Amino acid sequence: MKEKIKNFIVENFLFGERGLEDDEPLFESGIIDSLGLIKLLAFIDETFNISMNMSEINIEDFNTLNDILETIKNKMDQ
Amino acid sequence: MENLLWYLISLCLSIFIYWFILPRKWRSLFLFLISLLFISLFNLKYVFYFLLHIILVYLASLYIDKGEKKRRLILSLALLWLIGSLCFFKYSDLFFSTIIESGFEFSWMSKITFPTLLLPLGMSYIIFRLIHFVVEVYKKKSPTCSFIDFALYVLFFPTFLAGPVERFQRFHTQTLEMKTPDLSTINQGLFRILLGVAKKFVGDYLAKAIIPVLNTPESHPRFLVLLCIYGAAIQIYLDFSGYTDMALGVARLFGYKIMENFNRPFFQKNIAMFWRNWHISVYSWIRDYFFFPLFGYRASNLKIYFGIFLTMIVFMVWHKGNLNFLLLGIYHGLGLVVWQLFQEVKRKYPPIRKWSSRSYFNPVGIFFTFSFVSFGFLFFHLDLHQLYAVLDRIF
Repeated sequence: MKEKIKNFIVENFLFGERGLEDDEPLFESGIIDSLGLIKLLAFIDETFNISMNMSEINIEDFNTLNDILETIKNKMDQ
Repeated sequence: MENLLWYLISLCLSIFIYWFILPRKWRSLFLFLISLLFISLFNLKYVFYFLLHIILVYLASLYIDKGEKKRRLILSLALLWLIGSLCFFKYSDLFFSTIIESGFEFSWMSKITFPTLLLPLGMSYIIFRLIHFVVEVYKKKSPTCSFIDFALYVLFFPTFLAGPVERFQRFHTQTLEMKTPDLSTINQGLFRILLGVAKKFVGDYLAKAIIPVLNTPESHPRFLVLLCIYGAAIQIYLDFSGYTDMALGVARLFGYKIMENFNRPFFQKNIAMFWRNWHISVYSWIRDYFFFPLFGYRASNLKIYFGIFLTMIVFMVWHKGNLNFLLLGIYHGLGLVVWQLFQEVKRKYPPIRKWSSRSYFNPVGIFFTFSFVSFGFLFFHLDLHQLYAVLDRIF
């Protein structure tokens, strides 16, 4: 899961031009914006069948790759 | 000047009592009472009006937090009440005056006199904090707390008039973990206050020099008018960020570190980055509580672009309900949509991506973004006739 999400971010938002650290801030550094988050959520839904309710999204929960994995884990535990 | 002197004396006295006389457990209550006193200086009615909203939202959040049935219904009612209240005060005058001016008034309307509704000062920011709190409690992301701690968060006087709209969790953690400040905290607070005063001073000076030129562009050289357009954007930044600096500085003196509202907005490479760094607390609020809930990730690209466009219109019309701000919303909405479309083009066409990522494009992007924003800010200062005259002079 981690590698798939990482590859998605690298290919779609970094255009494959460099790698991504697990704790690299995605929003503060401008790698992902609001629209990018929407695309990332759509990818997670399509690939792992994990639906997120947009009214329950907190952008801080997706700020790094580690945060994203933690958020998904919490969602799966619910 | 006399008012300012009283404010400074009261502030120093409050800080002394807050840190050196009161035990820690009484500090929240003391700050809350000071905030009420501060608001009552503008209008005593505001105090009762705001307290009514705070009590209702607090009760709703307690109910929602218990996980009872119908918590979604209670959330919806709370949101309806808060949004309705804001719209009523903010737009009812505009609504009725538009109907009357358009000649469509009903016969009963001529028999009544509409009271002039004054939007209570700071109301938008209070409503934003209340919506944030009740939604976060619903999401189970925010703890409930004592009424005084909650009311203090909503009415905290340094940020009462014009923000920033701090997030509850951050604020409440600081309330719970408040420590006696060291010298560097006091220095930081004083520095931010002085920085804010300096920005306001320079901003006011700039406004006096710039506005007359923009009001009569035909009597001034083209280059000077162009320079004043950029100057007007800087003036708005100095004025608004100067206020924020002072608010953050005063908050710091009471031990609170409130979120920043600006992060070098005129040095951003594109319009999306600009909006992430300008009026951060409200822009991120609109994103989290308007854009995300209304335009989910299952939406088509077209719907998402429309969502971006609509969000900017709502954001601008929230500032002021008139034609200028509607046009400003359309202007920035289109700017953001075009930027997103360009991102799609970059994604699909590697040569364009490679070309646009060259290092010399960074200063070009910064200048282009600053220019785009500066021309947009003319809507703040000028009516449409004046705006046309300025553009006619330049082009």
